[in-house]
Amino acid sequence: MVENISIVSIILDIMVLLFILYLGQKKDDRTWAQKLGATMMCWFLLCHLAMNIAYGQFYAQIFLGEWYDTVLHMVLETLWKAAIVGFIVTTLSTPMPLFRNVKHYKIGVIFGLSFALLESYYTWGPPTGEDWFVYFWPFWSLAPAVLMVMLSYLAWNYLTSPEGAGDRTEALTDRAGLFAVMALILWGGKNWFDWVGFFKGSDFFYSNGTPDTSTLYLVADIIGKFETGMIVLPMFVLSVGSVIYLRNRGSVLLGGTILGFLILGFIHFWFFSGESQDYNSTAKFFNEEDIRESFILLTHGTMQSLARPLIILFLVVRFGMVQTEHAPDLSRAMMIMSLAGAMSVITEILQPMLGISQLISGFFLGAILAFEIERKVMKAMQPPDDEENTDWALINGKGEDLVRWTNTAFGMYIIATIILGILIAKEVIV
Amino acid sequence: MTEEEVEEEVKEIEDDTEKDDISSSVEVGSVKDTKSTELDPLPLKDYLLPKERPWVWKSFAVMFVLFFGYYFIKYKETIS
Repeated sequence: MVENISIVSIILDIMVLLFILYLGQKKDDRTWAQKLGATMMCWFLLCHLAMNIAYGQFYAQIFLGEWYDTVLHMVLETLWKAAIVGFIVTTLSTPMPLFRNVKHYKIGVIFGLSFALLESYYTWGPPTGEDWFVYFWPFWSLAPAVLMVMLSYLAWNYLTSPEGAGDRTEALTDRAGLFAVMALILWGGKNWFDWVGFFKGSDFFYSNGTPDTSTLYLVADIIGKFETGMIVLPMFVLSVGSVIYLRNRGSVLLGGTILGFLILGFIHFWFFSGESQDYNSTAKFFNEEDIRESFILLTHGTMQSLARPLIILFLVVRFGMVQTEHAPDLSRAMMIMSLAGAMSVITEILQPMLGISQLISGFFLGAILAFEIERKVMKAMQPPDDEENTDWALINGKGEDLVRWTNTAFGMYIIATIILGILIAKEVIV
Repeated sequence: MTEEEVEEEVKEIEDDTEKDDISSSVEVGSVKDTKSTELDPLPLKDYLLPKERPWVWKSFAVMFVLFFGYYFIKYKETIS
């Protein structure tokens, strides 16, 4: 029996996206930083949804070998880049703005999106036929690598801070740090299971990338290696940080979750001896003949498909990007469906590994409803009453205008990529 | 309500407003009563490099260097 995990992810993406869009339209006292965060999370979900549809089960139905395949590939990459820029923007604004001057912010966003558009031109356009051409994705991959450095530092600052410091700086450090930890799990989590193999010095290097005589190639190779390293460094930082966090605060939920990744990494190493496995198998629910493949699903598969939309749901509620009191019944239904869906997937994956029938997920659903666990989870996700929720002051502009400007910039960037893609695919640009 | 009472009430309201203004400016450094107010973000230096924990950025830098140093050694071993 083989099923496809991307369907679950597609449903979750759509559900959470509609949830944010619906609640985001409501009039309330959200600050500009929260509204900006909500729209950026929507961009991420849109991208994740498009990737799931195009590169998952429906690949053969979508890519037909026609000219528009090029446009579609470019647009999908574009959405992924928009998702990364969106997370950078959210990290810089929602927990606490790390910028004050709107002009500087706009210059940064315009630079980032222009660089992304230029990368599309070099990767898909006429330069591909040139002698000096190198695959230009590594240049763009500097952006997520920098994002991971920022998030790792914010998370380290948080995990090592003492409990109950009480002043404003520590309160904001906690807030930004929690966002950073969740964002790190979202972006790096699925690759962390390889990190033990990394220290074995084995097949962690997906390509050896031997630099040839071209300086451009050498620079691209160094950037590519930096990005690969920045997938693993956060796990290293978080593992050390979570031990300090457990010692300082004694809270097992967050510290234990992070250390759980470490334990799964060791199991992964035990299964694969640090060698890379077949990543294509992550698209399938499970293979009853191979317990190792099921383990990949429990790690890579769930982290990539299941955890990402659920982490977005957590972030938008916890950081007040949407207010669930506008639609309590809808929010409750959203939580029940998410918990039931997640439990169903996990039991399905565990079935061949531990002999647990997937059918028992129905019993878990009964327990969720009987004990109203969804209400407790939803309540625990709400921002604390005494948490600072400031309408941050900005120079050279207003926050509300900034939200509108950012979304317009993202929209224009996607339209520009579509036009560029058509011009390249139709060989107008040669 | 007499004219004197009205004046007294206006004075009380003005006093309360003054108190609120003073308290909001004092509370800038506190977590309390900061909901939906317009404040400046913290100075980046104080926020990212906390004075009471100067080892935070230093320890992070050490981990960064150690990690990529090890990565570089393994990388050289792999390609050779």
